[in-house]
Amino acid sequence: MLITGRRVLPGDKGVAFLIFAAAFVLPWASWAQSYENGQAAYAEGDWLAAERLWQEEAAEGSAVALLGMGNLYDFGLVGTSDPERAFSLYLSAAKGGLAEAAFNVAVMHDSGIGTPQDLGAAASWYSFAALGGNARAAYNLGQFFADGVGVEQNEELAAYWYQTVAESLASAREGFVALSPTRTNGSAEVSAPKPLSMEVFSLPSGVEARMAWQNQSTASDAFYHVDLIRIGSDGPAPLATAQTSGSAVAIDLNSPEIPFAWRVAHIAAGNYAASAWMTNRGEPMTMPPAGVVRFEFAPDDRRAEGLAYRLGGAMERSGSIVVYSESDREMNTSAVRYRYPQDAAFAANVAAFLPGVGVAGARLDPESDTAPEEVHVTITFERGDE
Amino acid sequence: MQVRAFFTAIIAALLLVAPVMAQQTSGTTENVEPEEGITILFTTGSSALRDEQQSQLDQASRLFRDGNPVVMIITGTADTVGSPMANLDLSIRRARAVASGLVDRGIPIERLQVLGQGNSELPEATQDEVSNANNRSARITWR
Repeated sequence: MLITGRRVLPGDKGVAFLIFAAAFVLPWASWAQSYENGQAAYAEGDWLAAERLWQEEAAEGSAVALLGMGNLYDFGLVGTSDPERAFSLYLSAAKGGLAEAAFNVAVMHDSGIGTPQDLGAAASWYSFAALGGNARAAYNLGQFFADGVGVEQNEELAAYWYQTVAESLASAREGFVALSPTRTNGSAEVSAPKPLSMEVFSLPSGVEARMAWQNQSTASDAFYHVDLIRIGSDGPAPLATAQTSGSAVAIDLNSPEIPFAWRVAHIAAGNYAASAWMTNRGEPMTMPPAGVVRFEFAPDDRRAEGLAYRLGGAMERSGSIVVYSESDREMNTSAVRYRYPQDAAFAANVAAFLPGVGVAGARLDPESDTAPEEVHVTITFERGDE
Repeated sequence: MQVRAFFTAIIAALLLVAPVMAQQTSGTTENVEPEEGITILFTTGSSALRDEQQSQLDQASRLFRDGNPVVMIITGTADTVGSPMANLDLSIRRARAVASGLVDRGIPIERLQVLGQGNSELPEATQDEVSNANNRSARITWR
């Protein structure tokens, strides 16, 4: 930069320097101190300064900077509009946890700007943005479900999403009220949900998986139960569960590296219908687990524990997920319980292995806290046998 | 017509700017949106939005991405039936109704500029006292 000054006044370097300083360095120094960050420059409409500052912040991993740069290129503020580049930046910012960026990803899928139009992807990203607290995303998702755009029409789910933002958006309140007289308050059928997609988000607070789905109808008083299982060479193992009345859920993950699978079950009136298991790569699981068997025994009942592990080992080899737990609650007799009628055959198969219970001994227990495709086995030996 | 010209001049000067806080732009925004704008038509004497027009507002708000520094301009007009003053008032109410609908959808209020044009710069120029559906409008454009 100083070379320029020398060229201007080659005969007087001191004067040249002062002129240079007055003309270039001082304003430059002033500019450099003008804005605390790219956001401050953007708020002042100084797009070039915002770009420069955000580039530095983005290099340090700032999702806010990625979103801001997306805005600059999206709206042509630092040259010709480049929506494809903006989309890529929004996507990165969204995966860094910014709901506004996830919303913009959804809008671009919705409108076909910056990426080919894909209304299903728009529905997914509106879901992810809504989970992050973006009100407009929830409203748009409500419209998608109300009108059957990008997803199967489902007025119950439309009502759910409208209701989540009814306090902040008057249009969502109106949308909810408009649906109320026409919606059927749920159908009688318990249909299986269809996964839309899953994305992993790296938030400042930790890693989160967000899953979205659609469903042709939602039954009265229904809810959705999501299971997350770890997959890998050790065999599947439970990771987390979540429940919601909506069509998307966020679940904390310990690490972004864990391979996992998920599925969602629609539960109502003592019945359920579950989706296929999907891997975190977005593919159907080739060897889905054959249900979950949860063994429970008293801490001091070593014979029960030994039997549980022997039976559990065999069940794991046949593809089931097995969980063992000790419990202090009173267990008078060994038992096999399941919560949903669909699991009767699975429970009978498990009961067949249990001495003293047998195929006919499995009991339907609608009050238990057992999940879909899960069987709860309590094993106990009488005191005299110990 | 003199009265109309008088009011047109006033309107040009006073074009109602309900919350306008457009940022000073130093860069180009010509390529902001490829859309030509959205026009909402009203029934005679009315500034009420009907169901199908609510859908148009949904469409307009869906295009508006978060962080957009661009101002959405809502320009209301009225046909030439009735007094110019009443039509100016009606055009303002139409533009405000549309702006309110966009705010209801989560568009930041500082991104909206509301203009009432009365009978001036109509989509279709007509003589006085001509009922014209296309002139009973509010138009959303981007700047």
